[in-house]
Amino acid sequence: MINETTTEHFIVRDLEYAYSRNFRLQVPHLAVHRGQSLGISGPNGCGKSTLLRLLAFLETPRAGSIELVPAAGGDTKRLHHRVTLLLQDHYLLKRSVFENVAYGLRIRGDRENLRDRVFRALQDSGLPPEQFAGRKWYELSGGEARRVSLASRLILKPEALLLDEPVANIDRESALLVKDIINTLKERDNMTLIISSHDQTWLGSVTDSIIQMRDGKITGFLYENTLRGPWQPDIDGLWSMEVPGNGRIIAPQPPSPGSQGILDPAHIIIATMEQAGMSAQNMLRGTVASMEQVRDSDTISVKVKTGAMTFTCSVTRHAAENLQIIPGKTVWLIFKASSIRWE
Amino acid sequence: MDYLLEGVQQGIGLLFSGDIETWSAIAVSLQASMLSITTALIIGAPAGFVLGYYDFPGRKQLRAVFDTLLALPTVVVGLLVYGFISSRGPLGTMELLFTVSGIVAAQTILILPIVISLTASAIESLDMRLRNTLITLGASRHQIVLTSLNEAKIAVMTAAVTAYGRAISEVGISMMIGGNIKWHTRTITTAIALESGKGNFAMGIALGLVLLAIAFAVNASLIILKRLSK
Repeated sequence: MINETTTEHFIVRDLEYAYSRNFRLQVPHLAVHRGQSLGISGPNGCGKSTLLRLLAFLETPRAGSIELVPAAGGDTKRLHHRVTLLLQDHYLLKRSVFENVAYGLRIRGDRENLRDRVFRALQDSGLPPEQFAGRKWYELSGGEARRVSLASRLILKPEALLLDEPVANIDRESALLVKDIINTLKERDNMTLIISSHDQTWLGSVTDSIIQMRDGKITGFLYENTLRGPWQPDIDGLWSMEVPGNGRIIAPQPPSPGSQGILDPAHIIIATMEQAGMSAQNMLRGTVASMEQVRDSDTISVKVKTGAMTFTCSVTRHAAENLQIIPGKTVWLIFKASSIRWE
Repeated sequence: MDYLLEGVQQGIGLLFSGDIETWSAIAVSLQASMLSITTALIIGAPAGFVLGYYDFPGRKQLRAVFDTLLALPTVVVGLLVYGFISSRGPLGTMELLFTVSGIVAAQTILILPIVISLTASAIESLDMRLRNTLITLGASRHQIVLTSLNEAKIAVMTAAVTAYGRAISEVGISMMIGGNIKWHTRTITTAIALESGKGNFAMGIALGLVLLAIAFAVNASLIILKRLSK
């Protein structure tokens, strides 16, 4: 969670970027606080990587601005010395692991205790230094190469570390390791972290908040559920969408047939028995898929699979204990039609 | 056949006896070729980087020009440079004609397209992710150039070896610009042409053996460097 003493680190204003006629990124406003860990989630091609590249000053916006606010009395050195991005499609220089990790320091002319610092960065990245430092770039597995790339950025101790899909195509063990590294960075170094990932559960375990993106726009914050439709007129002036394999969702009339509904996880009630005589018009039967504590809070994020859809709900730890919900348990999701808002 | 074998024997004898005339031609050849390859690399490697790395208007056309110049005939370069540095030419006052410096200038012009074109190809073949990786690690513009060239070092070294081979083995420029002056501008290749014309196969073969040895040494060093850089 962001405490009240945090200050803005990145301030994005009226940002626009386009790399083809078909794609346009628009972010009217976004503030990332110093020490915050922000997640970016969304489907392929929604603009997650583009936003990260802009925040890493790899791309120049077509309009608007990104301000990297220096800390009080802090360094105003080159932007790329303050922010670093680990690209999804990472790359290792054609040299040893040691030289790859040391590269960033060498080009800064910083060679003090180089060996110790390289070894520590490798250790922090979960790679035994004695075993890996002397290896060549082609003597590593995909997961090891990614961790070397991470070590080459950790050693720089940037103000902000941006990670683009850091757990894509790696095994569960490596994903847990990356999670531990990120949590250490946040707690030990108070580093600002901006992380994109498809895996919302994993993302929720390493970030304070998550923004959801779609078609180049930020469509919501936290763990909101997107109800994409298609929406059709139903009875009593209401509209509905099919939940493949599990009934339908009732909603008020959307502003246009192509609108998508947004449902806040906090507006979903979880019940362990089917309910009757309720004013809420939506009740979906589902199975608990996963549960994750939202960082530094008493909230549990619960993923419930219902038909072909997965809903994110949030309950307190106390409620989760009372309901005795565990993955695999059958539950009912209850929410009012009026709790759906439109984008 | 016997006279060829005798020529080889006599040639080896000339080399090992330290024949001053033979070694003078070798020294001039090495001096001119080393200076020309150094100059061509200093100018050509960054130029090749720019041509291979940046996208700018006219880049493709410029690339086509340098690719075409790869097959530049040595006598044409000799003729053009002669025109410029002869006493009636615009650079006549520099008095480069019939000097090693003149040979170096013309050889540099000859091999510059090789260095530029092959370096550009090497840079173009680099992984597209390299640039972004270097920027995110905080590399400045000149650090990006140096690291990119380093990443492509095998291909750049191959370009240098190819260019050096062209410089040390050319005859036209050394003959026209150097004038084949004994003790001053006579190179291995002009000496071979002259001595063979005079029927002096021994010296021609001796110098030919040196040329082969140089070519072998340069290629061997490239192979060693490739192995070391792995």
